[in-house]
Amino acid sequence: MVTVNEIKILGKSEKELLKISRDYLLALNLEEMKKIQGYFAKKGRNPTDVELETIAQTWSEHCVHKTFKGIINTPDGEINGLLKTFIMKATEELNMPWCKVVFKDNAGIVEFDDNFDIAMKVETHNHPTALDPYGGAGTGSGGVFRDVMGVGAKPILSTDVLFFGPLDYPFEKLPRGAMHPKRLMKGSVAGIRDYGNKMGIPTANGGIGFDEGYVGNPLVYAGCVGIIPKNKYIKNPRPGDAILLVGGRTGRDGIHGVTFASLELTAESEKTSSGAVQIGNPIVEKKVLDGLLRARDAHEKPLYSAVTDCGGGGLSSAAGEMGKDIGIEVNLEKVPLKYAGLEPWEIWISEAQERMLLAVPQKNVEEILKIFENENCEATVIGRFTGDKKLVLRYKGRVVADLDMDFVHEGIPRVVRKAKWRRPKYPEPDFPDKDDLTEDLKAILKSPNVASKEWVIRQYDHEVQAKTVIKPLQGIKCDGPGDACVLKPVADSWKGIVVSNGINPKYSIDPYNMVLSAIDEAIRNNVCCGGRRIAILDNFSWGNPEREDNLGQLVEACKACYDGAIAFKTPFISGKDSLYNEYDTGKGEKVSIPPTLLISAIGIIPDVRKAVTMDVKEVGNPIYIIGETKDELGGSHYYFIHGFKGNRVPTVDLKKAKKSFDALIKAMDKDLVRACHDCSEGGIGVAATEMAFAGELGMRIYLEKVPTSGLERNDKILFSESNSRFLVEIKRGKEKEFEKIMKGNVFAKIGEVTGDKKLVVVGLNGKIVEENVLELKKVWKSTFDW
Amino acid sequence: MAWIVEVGYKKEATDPVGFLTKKEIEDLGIEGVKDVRTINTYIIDGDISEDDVKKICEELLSDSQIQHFGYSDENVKKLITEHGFPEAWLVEVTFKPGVTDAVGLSTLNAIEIMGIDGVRNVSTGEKYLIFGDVSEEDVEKICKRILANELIQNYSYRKIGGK
Repeated sequence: MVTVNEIKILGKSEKELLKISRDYLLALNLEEMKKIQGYFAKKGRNPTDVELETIAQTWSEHCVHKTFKGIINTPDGEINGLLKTFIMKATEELNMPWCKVVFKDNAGIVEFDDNFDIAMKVETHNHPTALDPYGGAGTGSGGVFRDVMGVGAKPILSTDVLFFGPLDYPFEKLPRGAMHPKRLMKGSVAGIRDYGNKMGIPTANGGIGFDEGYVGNPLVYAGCVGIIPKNKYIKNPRPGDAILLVGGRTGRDGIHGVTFASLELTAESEKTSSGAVQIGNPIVEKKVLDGLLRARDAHEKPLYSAVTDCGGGGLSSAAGEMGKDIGIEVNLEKVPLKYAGLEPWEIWISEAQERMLLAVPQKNVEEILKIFENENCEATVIGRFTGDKKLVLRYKGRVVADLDMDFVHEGIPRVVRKAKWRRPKYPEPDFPDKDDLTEDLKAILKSPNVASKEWVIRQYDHEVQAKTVIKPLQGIKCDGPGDACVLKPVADSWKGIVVSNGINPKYSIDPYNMVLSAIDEAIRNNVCCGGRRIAILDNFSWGNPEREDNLGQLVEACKACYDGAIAFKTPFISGKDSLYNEYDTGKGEKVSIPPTLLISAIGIIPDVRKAVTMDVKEVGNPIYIIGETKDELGGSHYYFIHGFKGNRVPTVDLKKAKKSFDALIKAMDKDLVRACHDCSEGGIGVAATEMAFAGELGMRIYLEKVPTSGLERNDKILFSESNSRFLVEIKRGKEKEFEKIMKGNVFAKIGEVTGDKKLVVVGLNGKIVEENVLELKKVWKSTFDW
Repeated sequence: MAWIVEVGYKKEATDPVGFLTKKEIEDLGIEGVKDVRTINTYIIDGDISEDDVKKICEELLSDSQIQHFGYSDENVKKLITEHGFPEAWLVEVTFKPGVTDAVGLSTLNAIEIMGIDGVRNVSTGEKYLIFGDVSEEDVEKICKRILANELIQNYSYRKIGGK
């Protein structure tokens, strides 16, 4: 028997209101509960469970980004919304004419060429992955694909960046209820593989990192790039349009996913959140995609007037969002179910996968239903857009919810939070330099963050759709680590899309510079392959923002987002935040993850035939370094393998960086650059090694020639992780031309490609590294030889 | 009525999932496992003839080069005797009720495409045969840490073969 309960909140005390919020897993705070109480007091009745759930979903951190829109008090004054003050402001000020849709739809859209635009979106799926890595990470991909489909684009690339605890973490030390990092990693990789591969979307860019801070709370960032013909983007539902639900059936899966995401993970999460697990079915999503594209392209204009993804918050969010300016009416009993027995509120907020909502003008309903029927994809009209700005839900004729859209979407009280961050001080390392650094180099190469991820990459199909020109593994044996991937999306054009990312939570000891580093890394990875006119996306994974220090770090990070975007002229086009990434150790202690920001970069290249890879190509070619090497080893891998964090993390000289990047692109366009690789984790040492073994040639470099800010230790020059640096192989005989283009920037010739398959690093007083490159490759590959 | 179909690997064929599972068990620090073999289980619920079941097994669910199939427990028996081990732990992992069984749904869809009517539902499960000298305590650990996610799956195990 299906029931709709009235939840008695009128006349309840503050304590009772909070208990209701807890008991129903609403994750609403007292102020919000009181606001709801006030709204219903005016109506003179109590809310139904459906109504209360609707408000909780819409007001969840996941859906409205309370923290990013709230007021923050800092010691330096009040910030009126982080998003508006920093991130969106940068985009506004840059005002790039090629930015088509920014921050207002499921994905950001930028121009590609005269006929096409490209869309990109990156999502986090951390909490579901902690509970079920296979389903959680897989549906992370499935969800972000739907985000791109939700602007009418066809997915052409999947990206994934993952973070876990250390692979050798002892079982006994795991927080209660947490899975072992190795199991999480294997499960996540399998989930992403099975979703992307089965849908036929190539996974060709990403990264995997490890840090003790993620033991109880792994990170999964899933991204997607799509392509859409110009003038096919539409988001304009009209009163009278039908609401069409297409794709998977609705079940109990994923109930309370978004409100759960605003609660910390505890050992109890496993039990209370069993509904929060989502199970993916890529085959169904593929049918949705095929139907959607046919509906888009059947005539000059799409058959729908709007489309959106049913993701976090389910129908409640999707329909609510689409109809917030006009109003909707939905008959919940029309929603196709996986099995009987769902309560109306469960139908309304279920996060069952592979569902999308379309607004369809009545005259097109018949035609669009036929299209989905042909694709063997279920499609059902479940209601209509009204025009009265109300949200009305019925179940078998009975009204189970009747709310004003204005209240649901604008009624949420703005949060006011306090932020205060004090810079931590870690011991500075005091170990001496060594005469031979070969073993240190090997230790860094073997470290899981740096080591070859071929085991993962080879499971993902990065070739399907036949658009991948520059692939994730490069070089003569196709096993060197590429900086970015390049796609050639249109058959009769050489123009390409360049996709890369930047992230390094080890620098979180200084959040401002961590974020500048991530922006610099994402952009320089893009530049490595020839990418330009770059747009970026931000994805925050942070601890509980109700803690002053966590929020203080977030403020620092957002300031850097603004400064970085303006300096590089790279607008943010989309973003997402996942807060409350915190877990209980089981001993009553709460641990936040390290503040983590992923920057994804999407650029274009006018001719993919000019794209550059990272492997050295020809004996005798000179090797140059671009950028200055500084005493910036805080959070570096070199300190890490010696058990230190240090303090001075890499900074970015914003003026110099942009100028040198532009010059390098110019040199690439003139065909002077044979190989290019960025210096990041492990600095010059790792970059040189990777370039050499990817080309299976030798390399000899001289540290005394490296431009530094007065560095006198070999180890620091070799392993410093200063930003904005590249190693480039230039065509022999083209040195003068290259130097002319680079004039006015910091750069120097530091060595050459040799034929003896040996990496030789000559330090300030003689050789400090000498090893066969194939041996170095073996070491680098040994970690994930699973 | 429901047909229980089991598909396992032939003795001479590599069982990739079993191979990796054995490695993961060793990673847990559990010694004594000689081999792990896997069996896919399909419960086909509906009114279909044995001929149809056989056709589904041959054309859809198994690859005759490397796999064999059977209805009910005969496949398990075959695997144990074939591998020359006197006994094994048999672990069964199935989805909890209400959890979407994507492979089951696809199988049902494929059976319909084959032109066989009358199947109402297909649900899937995994069986693992763990050969070697392993204690019950270790099997429990293997289930919890490798084979099943208790949030969405049920597991059970028993010793089979022997005297």
